[in-house]
Parts: sequence; C-alpha cells; structure tokens
Amino acid sequence: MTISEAHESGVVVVSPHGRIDSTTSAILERHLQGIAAAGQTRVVVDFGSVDYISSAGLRVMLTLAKRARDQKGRVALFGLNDSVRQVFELAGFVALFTIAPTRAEALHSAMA
Amino acid sequence: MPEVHVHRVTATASAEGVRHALNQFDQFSRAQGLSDDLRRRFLVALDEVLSNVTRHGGPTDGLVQVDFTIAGNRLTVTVEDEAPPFNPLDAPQADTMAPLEQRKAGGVGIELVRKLLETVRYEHTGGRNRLMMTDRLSGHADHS
Repeated sequence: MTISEAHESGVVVVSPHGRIDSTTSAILERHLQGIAAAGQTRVVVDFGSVDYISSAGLRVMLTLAKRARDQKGRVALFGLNDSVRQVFELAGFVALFTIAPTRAEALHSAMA
Repeated sequence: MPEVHVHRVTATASAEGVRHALNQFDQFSRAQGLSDDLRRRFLVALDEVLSNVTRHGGPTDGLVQVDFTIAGNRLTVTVEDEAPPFNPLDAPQADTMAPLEQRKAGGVGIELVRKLLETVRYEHTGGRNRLMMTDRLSGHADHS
C-alpha cells in the first residue's frame, strides 16, 4: 500500500492505494495518527484507488471516526467501489461516516 | 466431468503467511477471470479467517493450508490448520447498529465472512480445523 496526501482549504485529503487489510492497515493507521498529531482534524479519505477493505481496515476507520468525535473534527469519505461500500453497509459503518458522491462534496462536508 | 481447478497454498500462520496467501488468491482469481466482486468478497473473508488463525493458532511455527477450488459454477476456499480446535463462527455477533460511542471493531470480521459468502462451514476433523467458504462464480452477490 502507498498513501498520498493533499491539503486543500484546511482539509487533509488522504488517498490510500491498494488494499486495506490485515497486511496493510497499520500503514494507514500510522498515516492517520500523523495527521492527528499535526493537529489536523478535518479529514477526507479518498477510496478511489482502494481495491477492498477488510475488518482490519474497518478498525482503523473506527479509530478515525472516534478521534474526530473527540477532537470535534470532521471526516468524509468518497470514491468507494461497490465492494468497499458493501463492506461498510454490512458492518453498519455507513451510519458512522459521511459518504459523499464526489470529492468536491466530501471536501465541502469536511469544511462545514 | 466438469473442469476442476485447484490451487494449494501452504503458508506459516504469520503476518507474512497471510500476505502470501492473499497474494496467491488474488493471482489465482485474476488468472481464472473471476469477477472483481467475487475476488474482493473472498479476499475480505480470507484476510479475516487467516488473521484469526495467526491470532489463535498455538505454535508460532504452525502452518496453514489454503485450497482454492473451482468446480462447476462454484468457488470454494478451504483453510486448514493444526492449531487447537477453534470455530470462528462461534464468535458473538457484532452489534452493527450501535452508536459510535459503543462501537467495537471486534466481531465485525466474522460477521462479514458470514454475510459476504453464500456458505461458510467449520469442522474439526483429524486434529485439524477446517473452514470451507463457497460461493457461485456468477449470480447475485448479496446474501444479507
């Protein structure tokens, strides 16, 4: 897995590439911790290049959601393929996140 | 006789073994022309089952054997290990409706395995744990 990061209007856009599972989730976790440590609380996760996410990845996403709640931050997601969306739905995670249809709307949501 | 494709992977019950088995399944499913949907559902399930084995599997040098079998219109992935008897399907159901404050990640993985695939069966036989996951190669994906 590789992760790229962009900054736009006070929001960090994180783009993981590849799969988010037990073999890679620690990389994403570390990256998100770095963002939090830098005091950035508005985060968009771009799933456009994510092949699939397993429960190990959901664990990282849950930590992100809880951290955002504690720090009064904002998290929005976009670009989920059908498989990623199905996993979010089956796990009941769609209720925990703002899932936007486009990057622009995700940014807008994270800025609000 | 329908054509049968079998691919066997033996790996250590370790993070490295999980990575190896997932890569092998990914290559197998692409070579067999499986749909992205089916490939990804099995990868999510396989990651869960294999990382369970590495967590619960007794000796650190334990081995896990994974078979991918295509027969007729079905794909079956079988995971076998020699760790103490452990049925992952006995795990308590995760509460997927709880609010964020009460949400825990544990249990979600096995819930996903159950829901993503048509049939998941466990047996302990000949001193081995065996988990069999089966689904159709084509057809409707959502079994929830």
